[in-house]
Amino acid sequence: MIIPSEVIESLQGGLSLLVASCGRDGRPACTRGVGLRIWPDRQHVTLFLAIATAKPVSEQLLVRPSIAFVISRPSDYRTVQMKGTVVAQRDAAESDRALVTEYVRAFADQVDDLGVPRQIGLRIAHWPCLALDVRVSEIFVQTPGPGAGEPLSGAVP
Amino acid sequence: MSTLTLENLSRCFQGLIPCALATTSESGVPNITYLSQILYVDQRHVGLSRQFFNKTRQNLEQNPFACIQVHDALSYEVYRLNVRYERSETSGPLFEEQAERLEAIAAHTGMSGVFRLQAIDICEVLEIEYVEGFLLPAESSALPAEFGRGPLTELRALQLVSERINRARELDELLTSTLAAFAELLDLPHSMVLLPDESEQRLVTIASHGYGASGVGAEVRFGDGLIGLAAANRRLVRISGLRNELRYSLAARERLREVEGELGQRSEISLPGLSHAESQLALPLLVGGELVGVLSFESESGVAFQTWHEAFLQLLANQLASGIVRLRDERGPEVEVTRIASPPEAAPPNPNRERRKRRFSFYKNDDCIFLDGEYLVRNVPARILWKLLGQHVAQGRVEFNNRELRLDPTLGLPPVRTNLESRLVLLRKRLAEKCPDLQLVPGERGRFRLLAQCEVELTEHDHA
Repeated sequence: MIIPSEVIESLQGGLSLLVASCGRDGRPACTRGVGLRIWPDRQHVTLFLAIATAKPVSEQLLVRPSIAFVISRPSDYRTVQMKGTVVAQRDAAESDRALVTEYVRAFADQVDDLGVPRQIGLRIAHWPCLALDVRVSEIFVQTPGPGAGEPLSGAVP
Repeated sequence: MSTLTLENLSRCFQGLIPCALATTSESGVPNITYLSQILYVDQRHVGLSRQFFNKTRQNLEQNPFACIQVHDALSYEVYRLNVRYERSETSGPLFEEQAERLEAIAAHTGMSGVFRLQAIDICEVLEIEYVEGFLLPAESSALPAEFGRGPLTELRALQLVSERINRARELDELLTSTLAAFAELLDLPHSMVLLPDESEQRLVTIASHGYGASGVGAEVRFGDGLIGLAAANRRLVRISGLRNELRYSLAARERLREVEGELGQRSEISLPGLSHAESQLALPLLVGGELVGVLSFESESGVAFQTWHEAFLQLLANQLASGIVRLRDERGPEVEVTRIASPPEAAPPNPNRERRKRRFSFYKNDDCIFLDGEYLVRNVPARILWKLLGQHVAQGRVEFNNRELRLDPTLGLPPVRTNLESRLVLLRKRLAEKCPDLQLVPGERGRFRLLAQCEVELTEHDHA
């Protein structure tokens, strides 16, 4: 699946990222992501999860690579959910650190406007990180309201 | 189950920070969504407020296990709840309460009837996990003082507020001193009291504290917003995380616009009071089943009103309601009233100064008075003022009494429960705000004086 350019453009800067997985026993786990990079092919993304809090999800993904994540702009709840398969799980490289730090800083700025103090946002553990390379297979509109949960129309398969 | 309990997590259920909800399909495909609020049901259960999330619903029917991530509204620490879906509720107290809450939010964003609760999905909590290391250590972990108060402090405050309510000899004094006490003693600086008007379909603001403009005379229809809902349903309504909820509701509205076009004639109702309110609490004032008013609080803090506030403030609201009933009707002529404070004396007219002319216009069709082209007051208070001004202009009368008002059939006061005093309080306050050179000064034994330091011109119109 190709991630539509309008999705990429509409979800820039200070985004909230939540990631879910499913264990062998069928029970889900979730955690907050601290960074996102869309690949030039627009079919893959790399998600960054803080090692401090990622364990339940990362362990499940080693067993079942099926993954779901929501990207949401806190100021207006514009949200999409993507689903796909983790094709690689590794420690993030030092060269990823600037992206992750900037991601958390932008998120802290966003939520500061909404009543969560910036210094709290900046305290979210974000390094060291795991990097999950994900091949995206489905995208859903998840902004609250009618049509929430429906596949993104117009997306190029 | 770990030693953590749901009671320990009460601050996670304020709706201040959205929660994450992860489910999986039968085939093990995960799904994750935001929840604007998770509800505490009992020691072992939480409720998921369902308005839109369809895939989650499908997943829970296929596989009842879910994982919820919640934030403490004060410390921002994170907890994971591993839960198992049990059932959906579409009626009952929990459902009704949440439906009311959502309706109040919806009303604020012009989404009444659209942003509707479908069900509350009840889940058993199997495990609570504190997510260690989510936040890096803080320089100081001191909590805000609002959580440092002890029960003795609250009891003392209860006693003091109660004393003020009992001591009040006039309705205005009762309301003013009680709202001030909420601010001084209970750290609730923004409050207002609204009383029903004669239509019994509308509330009129009669006193407020902590707002720049008093808002006296502002009206709320029964059923509109939080205050209107508290009146219509005669139940306490509390909302926390208001900005979060409003954003959620506004997002839904924008989505609806995208999907269905414009929303027709629905009009957005502005939030009254604080522009950055995070929490609001509205308590119906009831005596013997009669709604005598609504007491409303607002706060810029999302954690200002805890569950215990509901019980605590309801005690005071009951006392306030009894106080209003005691004082809202006129004081009988046989009652000698000793004023706590001296009435505001109007300064003697200055013969050397030209008196300002004030133009009062009464519009019969709207039953309201405009002052110099600006709305002043309507309904019974307007009729009372028109009567007083008419006699003042025609006969030079300045002394009046409550009894003659109560007996005047043209004013439309009900034969019992006239609420005359509350109408006069409203009128006095509106004049103080809009026309300080015209005063109604209460005296003793049900008498009052009309003091005019302006030239009064009266015009009557059938239509605007």
